[in-house]
Amino acid sequence: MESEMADAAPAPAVAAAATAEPLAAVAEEGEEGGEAAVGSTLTMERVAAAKKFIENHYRSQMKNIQERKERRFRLERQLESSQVPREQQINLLKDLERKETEYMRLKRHKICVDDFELLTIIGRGAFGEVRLCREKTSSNIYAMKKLKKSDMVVRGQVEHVRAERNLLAEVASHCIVKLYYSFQDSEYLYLIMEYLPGGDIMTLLMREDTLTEHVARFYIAETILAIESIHKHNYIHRDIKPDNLLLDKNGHMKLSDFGLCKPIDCSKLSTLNEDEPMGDDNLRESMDIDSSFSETTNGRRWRSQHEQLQHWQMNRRKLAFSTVGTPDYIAPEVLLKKGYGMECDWWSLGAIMYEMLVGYPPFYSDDPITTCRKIVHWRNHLKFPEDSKVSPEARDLICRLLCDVDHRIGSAGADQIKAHPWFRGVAWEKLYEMEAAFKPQVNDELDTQNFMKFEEMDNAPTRTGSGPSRKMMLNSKDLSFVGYTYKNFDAVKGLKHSDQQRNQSLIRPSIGSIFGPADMDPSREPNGRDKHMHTVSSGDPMIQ
Amino acid sequence: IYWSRHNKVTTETWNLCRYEYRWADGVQIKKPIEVSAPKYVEFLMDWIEGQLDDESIFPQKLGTPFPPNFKEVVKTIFKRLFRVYAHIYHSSFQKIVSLKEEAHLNTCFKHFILFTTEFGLIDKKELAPLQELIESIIPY
Repeated sequence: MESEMADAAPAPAVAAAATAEPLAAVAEEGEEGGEAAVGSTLTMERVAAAKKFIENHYRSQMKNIQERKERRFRLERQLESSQVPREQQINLLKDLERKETEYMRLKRHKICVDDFELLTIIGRGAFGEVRLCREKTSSNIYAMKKLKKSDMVVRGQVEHVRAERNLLAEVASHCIVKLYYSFQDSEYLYLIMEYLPGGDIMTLLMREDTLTEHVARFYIAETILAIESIHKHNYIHRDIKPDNLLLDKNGHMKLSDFGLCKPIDCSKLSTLNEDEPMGDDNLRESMDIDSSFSETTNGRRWRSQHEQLQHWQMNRRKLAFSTVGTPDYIAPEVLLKKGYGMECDWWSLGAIMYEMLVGYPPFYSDDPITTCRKIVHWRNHLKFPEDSKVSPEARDLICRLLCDVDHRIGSAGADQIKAHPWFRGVAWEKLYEMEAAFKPQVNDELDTQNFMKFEEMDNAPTRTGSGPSRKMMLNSKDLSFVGYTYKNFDAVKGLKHSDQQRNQSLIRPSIGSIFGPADMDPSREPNGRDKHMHTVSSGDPMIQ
Repeated sequence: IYWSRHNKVTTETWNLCRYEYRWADGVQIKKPIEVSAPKYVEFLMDWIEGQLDDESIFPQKLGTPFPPNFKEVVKTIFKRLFRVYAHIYHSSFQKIVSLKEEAHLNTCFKHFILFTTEFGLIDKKELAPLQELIESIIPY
């Protein structure tokens, strides 16, 4: 005890020395009794941080109490309408109480990067990386997304980070990658997310070049459900692209922002405007960059679909390893920095659909600036290659998605798109229950074969001491990230019944399976049957 | 004997010197030393953090029992935290108001008092410096 304190003493002493002076200044001002100066800049920063911290603390507390009551109420309501014997009802309620207790303990645990064993890198971007990790206490496998705080602040990404964390924490949907924890230390923000070993649509397209309309229809349909899910919660994704469409081990798609929000260099976009004519100079410039460009025998500037696809595949591989994002899927109104709404996500869907069927994005160019110009002038550049085999219905849908925001299908809601003829026969309510159109190869829970290979660059992060990390909470940099910590109720596994033996002959409902239907997209409930009666199982819902 | 003397000295100093307190945590600083209010708060927060991080007092592992003197440790923490509130309300409240933080301070203090009262963590005589304020939260 004494030696431990001796070891700990120097650091707090240094911190005390560093922070004592400003506090003394504040006290001195107080002693003078004068109110002429409200406070120094540092004082005002700390006041703002303290206010935000306190407000967030009580807001979170009230929210947690409310959510706990809602979970209890939901369980009680479902038990009433179920055929579960009374004794089992009591057991399930006790299970929930135990789980709530464990959840509270979990929330109080000072989670940090040391709680995880760091494994393979599966993604990297301008602000950080994503890697496989294993939680040491539970052995659960997760994807850890790590973002450098200083980079986020400097590049104006604070709001984006917060929006992503809030979206993942609030939108509990099977179409969205699940967030289990978020936390921070002095240097980084961390998101601990569900690991989806099936890879993503980008890697699928890199292997397959194009998809059949049957496969494409399946994934476009699942993407529509995912986008609908976030729109219902008033979120606009704004950056939907193939590498944000992840595949689980069974091939079902979940929406994410694994792309790490690769920034498009906005300074160069200032010259981009709708009225600027796309003259021959710009076209020639583009052709010069693309040295392999040549006119075909029929005099048209388009290369064959196959050549274009091959070129895109080479370029895409380069892009995936770079830290600069591609604008290929971004809606024109976003690029032009006009106000934009939820319709911009449907444009992205159209660009992805085009790529699935044709093999490359509709406004592809070597040069991101030229791509942006093509998008802004989409009327002149949206074309299908002559040798394309895209069906008339698919073309029609793509053209309704890649168009004026005022006429874009989906502006009146996702149902408008679902009604399009190309989706005839799609069982929207059963998409996530049926077998996926593509089954990825996944050998074990640590398998990363469906992701690109990245080399290690940095040392593993070292944990900062708990003392200094608490004090540093009041730095101006950390002001931006107050309230970032989060722990998902589903991170606590359901407990096994001690009397499981006695009920061996009965199919025993678990808290997970009872909560399961409630976790689904609310829009599906009116159309679906009572899923509770059909999803009862004794399996652990955490084991997929 | 030591603790009794410690408490006595602290109480005397508190009453006599408005801006000076004597701090002793019994480990690193065995004899009380004179410190300014900001330094006192700094020492106190460091000490509390050390207590919270000490797993022999606040176990992290599920199933680990709490020590027999757990309540006494917690009471000491709350007694000392109360002194910080007392100092702020007596000496710095106008500053807090000018910084527009009084609602935040009052919310935290109300939560603090309700919690300590619920679990009996601070003796009534220790609460005397803020008697009137506490009565507005919990009418006797």
